[in-house]
Amino acid sequence: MSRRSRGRLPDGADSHDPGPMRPPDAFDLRTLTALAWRRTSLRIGAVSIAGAQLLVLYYGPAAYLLAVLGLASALIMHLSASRRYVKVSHGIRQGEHHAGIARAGVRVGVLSIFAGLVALATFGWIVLEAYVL
Amino acid sequence: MPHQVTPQVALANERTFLAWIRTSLALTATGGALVALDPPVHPGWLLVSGGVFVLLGIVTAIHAWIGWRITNRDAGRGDWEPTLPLGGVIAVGVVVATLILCFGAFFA
Repeated sequence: MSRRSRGRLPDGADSHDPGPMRPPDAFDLRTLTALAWRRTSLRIGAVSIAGAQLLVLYYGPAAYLLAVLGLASALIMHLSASRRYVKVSHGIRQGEHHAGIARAGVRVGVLSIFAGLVALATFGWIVLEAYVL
Repeated sequence: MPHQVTPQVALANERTFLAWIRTSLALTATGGALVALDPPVHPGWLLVSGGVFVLLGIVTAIHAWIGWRITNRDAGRGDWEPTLPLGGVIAVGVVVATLILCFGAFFA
Protein backbone atom coordinates (compact mmCIF):
# COMPACT_ATOMS: atom_id res chain seq x y z
CA MET A 1 0.00 0.00 0.00
CA SER A 2 1.48 3.29 -1.04
CA ARG A 3 1.86 6.14 1.39
CA ARG A 4 -0.58 8.28 -0.59
CA SER A 5 -3.35 5.69 -0.44
CA ARG A 6 -2.98 5.48 3.35
CA GLY A 7 -2.67 9.25 3.83
CA ARG A 8 -5.20 12.05 3.74
CA LEU A 9 -4.79 12.95 0.08
CA PRO A 10 -6.72 10.86 -2.45
CA ASP A 11 -4.96 9.30 -5.43
CA GLY A 12 -3.96 11.87 -7.99
CA ALA A 13 -4.36 14.83 -5.62
CA ASP A 14 -1.52 17.27 -5.18
CA SER A 15 -1.30 19.48 -2.11
CA HIS A 16 -0.25 22.40 -4.33
CA ASP A 17 -3.25 22.10 -6.60
CA PRO A 18 -6.32 24.22 -5.91
CA GLY A 19 -9.31 22.18 -4.83
CA PRO A 20 -11.10 20.89 -1.75
CA MET A 21 -7.94 19.18 -0.39
CA ARG A 22 -5.60 22.13 -0.76
CA PRO A 23 -3.84 23.44 2.36
CA PRO A 24 -5.36 26.55 3.94
CA ASP A 25 -4.13 29.84 2.55
CA ALA A 26 -3.41 33.07 4.41
CA PHE A 27 -7.08 34.12 4.31
CA ASP A 28 -8.25 30.86 5.92
CA LEU A 29 -5.52 31.10 8.54
CA ARG A 30 -6.43 34.73 9.25
CA THR A 31 -10.04 33.70 9.79
CA LEU A 32 -9.04 30.80 12.03
CA THR A 33 -6.84 33.09 14.10
CA ALA A 34 -9.47 35.81 14.36
CA LEU A 35 -11.98 33.17 15.50
CA ALA A 36 -9.48 31.95 18.11
CA TRP A 37 -9.18 35.51 19.47
CA ARG A 38 -12.96 35.85 19.57
CA ARG A 39 -13.30 32.46 21.29
CA THR A 40 -10.79 33.57 23.90
CA SER A 41 -12.55 36.88 24.51
CA LEU A 42 -15.87 35.06 24.91
CA ARG A 43 -14.19 32.71 27.40
CA ILE A 44 -12.94 35.69 29.41
CA GLY A 45 -16.44 37.16 29.49
CA ALA A 46 -18.00 33.85 30.56
CA VAL A 47 -15.39 33.25 33.28
CA SER A 48 -15.90 36.80 34.59
CA ILE A 49 -19.67 36.40 34.86
CA ALA A 50 -19.38 32.94 36.46
CA GLY A 51 -16.74 34.20 38.91
CA ALA A 52 -18.87 37.19 39.86
CA GLN A 53 -21.89 34.95 40.44
CA LEU A 54 -19.85 32.82 42.84
CA LEU A 55 -18.18 35.73 44.62
CA VAL A 56 -21.52 37.45 45.21
CA LEU A 57 -22.10 34.81 47.90
CA TYR A 58 -19.03 36.12 49.75
CA TYR A 59 -18.80 39.83 48.98
CA GLY A 60 -22.31 40.86 47.91
CA PRO A 61 -23.21 42.89 44.82
CA ALA A 62 -19.74 44.49 44.77
CA ALA A 63 -18.55 41.29 43.11
CA TYR A 64 -20.44 42.29 39.96
CA LEU A 65 -17.70 44.88 39.43
CA LEU A 66 -15.53 41.91 38.47
CA ALA A 67 -18.04 40.91 35.81
CA VAL A 68 -18.10 44.47 34.43
CA LEU A 69 -14.29 44.62 34.27
CA GLY A 70 -14.06 41.19 32.67
CA LEU A 71 -16.74 41.97 30.09
CA ALA A 72 -15.08 45.29 29.26
CA SER A 73 -11.71 43.53 28.77
CA ALA A 74 -13.34 40.86 26.60
CA LEU A 75 -15.10 43.50 24.49
CA ILE A 76 -11.90 45.51 23.98
CA MET A 77 -10.01 42.37 22.99
CA HIS A 78 -12.76 41.26 20.63
CA LEU A 79 -12.92 44.66 18.90
CA SER A 80 -9.15 44.98 18.71
CA ALA A 81 -8.68 41.51 17.16
CA SER A 82 -11.55 42.03 14.72
CA ARG A 83 -10.17 45.41 13.63
CA ARG A 84 -6.76 43.86 13.02
CA TYR A 85 -8.36 41.02 11.05
CA VAL A 86 -10.16 43.46 8.76
CA LYS A 87 -7.01 45.57 8.34
CA VAL A 88 -4.73 42.63 7.53
CA SER A 89 -7.25 41.03 5.18
CA HIS A 90 -7.48 44.34 3.33
CA GLY A 91 -3.67 44.49 3.15
CA ILE A 92 -3.45 40.98 1.70
CA ARG A 93 -6.07 41.86 -0.92
CA GLN A 94 -3.93 44.86 -1.87
CA GLY A 95 -1.00 42.51 -2.46
CA GLU A 96 1.02 43.05 0.73
CA HIS A 97 2.70 39.74 1.55
CA HIS A 98 2.81 39.97 5.36
CA ALA A 99 0.44 42.90 5.94
CA GLY A 100 1.55 43.13 9.58
CA ILE A 101 0.45 39.60 10.41
CA ALA A 102 3.30 38.90 12.82
CA ARG A 103 2.81 42.12 14.81
CA ALA A 104 0.70 40.81 17.68
CA GLY A 105 3.24 41.40 20.44
CA VAL A 106 1.33 44.03 22.43
CA ARG A 107 -1.96 42.15 22.33
CA VAL A 108 -0.24 38.89 23.28
CA GLY A 109 1.61 40.55 26.18
CA VAL A 110 -1.51 42.27 27.53
CA LEU A 111 -3.54 39.07 27.37
CA SER A 112 -0.79 37.07 29.13
CA ILE A 113 -0.55 39.65 31.91
CA PHE A 114 -4.34 39.73 32.22
CA ALA A 115 -4.59 35.91 32.54
CA GLY A 116 -1.68 35.88 35.01
CA LEU A 117 -3.26 38.63 37.15
CA VAL A 118 -6.63 36.84 37.21
CA ALA A 119 -4.89 33.63 38.31
CA LEU A 120 -2.82 35.51 40.93
CA ALA A 121 -5.94 37.22 42.32
CA THR A 122 -7.71 33.85 42.51
CA PHE A 123 -4.72 32.34 44.30
CA GLY A 124 -4.65 35.25 46.74
CA TRP A 125 -8.34 34.72 47.47
CA ILE A 126 -7.72 30.99 48.13
CA VAL A 127 -4.86 31.86 50.50
CA LEU A 128 -7.19 34.32 52.25
CA GLU A 129 -9.80 31.58 52.61
CA ALA A 130 -7.16 29.26 54.06
CA TYR A 131 -6.15 31.97 56.53
CA VAL A 132 -9.78 32.45 57.63
CA LEU A 133 -10.16 28.68 57.98
CA MET B 1 19.41 39.67 9.34
CA PRO B 2 15.85 41.02 9.43
CA HIS B 3 13.24 39.15 11.41
CA GLN B 4 11.02 37.43 8.83
CA VAL B 5 8.37 35.01 10.03
CA THR B 6 6.05 33.54 7.44
CA PRO B 7 2.36 34.35 7.93
CA GLN B 8 1.54 30.65 8.33
CA VAL B 9 3.99 30.21 11.21
CA ALA B 10 3.09 33.54 12.85
CA LEU B 11 -0.62 32.77 12.81
CA ALA B 12 -0.15 29.18 14.00
CA ASN B 13 2.03 30.50 16.84
CA GLU B 14 -0.70 32.98 17.76
CA ARG B 15 -3.38 30.29 17.83
CA THR B 16 -1.17 28.06 19.98
CA PHE B 17 -0.67 30.96 22.39
CA LEU B 18 -4.43 31.54 22.57
CA ALA B 19 -5.04 27.84 23.25
CA TRP B 20 -2.59 27.99 26.17
CA ILE B 21 -4.30 31.12 27.51
CA ARG B 22 -7.69 29.42 27.36
CA THR B 23 -6.16 26.45 29.22
CA SER B 24 -4.84 28.86 31.84
CA LEU B 25 -8.27 30.46 32.26
CA ALA B 26 -9.91 27.03 32.55
CA LEU B 27 -7.43 25.88 35.22
CA THR B 28 -7.89 29.11 37.19
CA ALA B 29 -11.68 28.90 36.94
CA THR B 30 -11.61 25.26 38.07
CA GLY B 31 -9.53 26.08 41.15
CA GLY B 32 -11.63 29.10 42.08
CA ALA B 33 -14.93 27.29 41.53
CA LEU B 34 -13.80 24.33 43.64
CA VAL B 35 -13.19 26.57 46.64
CA ALA B 36 -16.20 28.83 46.09
CA LEU B 37 -18.74 26.04 45.55
CA ASP B 38 -17.61 24.30 48.76
CA PRO B 39 -18.34 20.66 47.85
CA PRO B 40 -18.50 17.99 50.60
CA VAL B 41 -14.71 17.71 50.83
CA HIS B 42 -12.40 18.24 53.82
CA PRO B 43 -11.68 22.03 53.75
CA GLY B 44 -7.89 21.68 53.96
CA TRP B 45 -7.66 19.23 51.08
CA LEU B 46 -10.12 21.35 49.10
CA LEU B 47 -7.99 24.48 49.48
CA VAL B 48 -4.81 22.63 48.52
CA SER B 49 -6.48 21.12 45.46
CA GLY B 50 -7.90 24.49 44.38
CA GLY B 51 -4.53 26.13 45.00
CA VAL B 52 -2.74 23.59 42.81
CA PHE B 53 -5.22 24.18 39.97
CA VAL B 54 -4.74 27.95 40.19
CA LEU B 55 -0.94 27.66 40.39
CA LEU B 56 -1.05 25.56 37.23
CA GLY B 57 -3.10 28.37 35.67
CA ILE B 58 -0.40 30.92 36.59
CA VAL B 59 2.38 28.72 35.20
CA THR B 60 0.39 28.12 32.00
CA ALA B 61 -0.15 31.86 31.42
CA ILE B 62 3.58 32.55 31.84
CA HIS B 63 4.44 29.60 29.58
CA ALA B 64 2.04 30.86 26.91
CA TRP B 65 3.80 34.21 26.67
CA ILE B 66 7.36 32.83 26.82
CA GLY B 67 6.51 30.08 24.33
CA TRP B 68 5.05 32.60 21.88
CA ARG B 69 8.14 34.81 22.12
CA ILE B 70 10.62 31.94 21.74
CA THR B 71 8.78 30.43 18.79
CA ASN B 72 8.47 33.82 17.08
CA ARG B 73 12.19 34.45 17.57
CA ASP B 74 13.38 31.02 16.48
CA ALA B 75 11.02 30.85 13.50
CA GLY B 76 12.66 34.01 12.18
CA ARG B 77 16.03 32.27 12.28
CA GLY B 78 14.67 29.19 10.59
CA ASP B 79 15.88 26.77 13.28
CA TRP B 80 12.58 26.34 15.08
CA GLU B 81 11.54 22.95 16.40
CA PRO B 82 8.24 22.42 18.19
CA THR B 83 8.67 21.63 21.87
CA LEU B 84 6.12 21.05 24.59
CA PRO B 85 8.13 20.93 27.82
CA LEU B 86 5.25 22.01 30.05
CA GLY B 87 2.56 19.70 28.69
CA GLY B 88 3.63 16.83 30.94
CA VAL B 89 3.87 19.08 33.99
CA ILE B 90 0.32 20.36 33.45
CA ALA B 91 -1.03 16.83 32.96
CA VAL B 92 0.69 15.52 36.11
CA GLY B 93 -0.43 18.60 38.06
CA VAL B 94 -4.07 18.11 37.10
CA VAL B 95 -3.89 14.42 38.10
CA VAL B 96 -2.29 15.33 41.46
CA ALA B 97 -4.88 18.04 42.17
CA THR B 98 -7.71 15.63 41.33
CA LEU B 99 -6.22 12.94 43.57
CA ILE B 100 -5.95 15.47 46.41
CA LEU B 101 -9.62 16.30 45.88
CA CYS B 102 -10.53 12.58 45.97
CA PHE B 103 -8.58 12.10 49.22
CA GLY B 104 -10.38 15.12 50.65
CA ALA B 105 -13.74 13.63 49.72
CA PHE B 106 -12.73 10.35 51.36
CA PHE B 107 -11.70 12.04 54.62
CA ALA B 108 -14.65 14.46 54.74
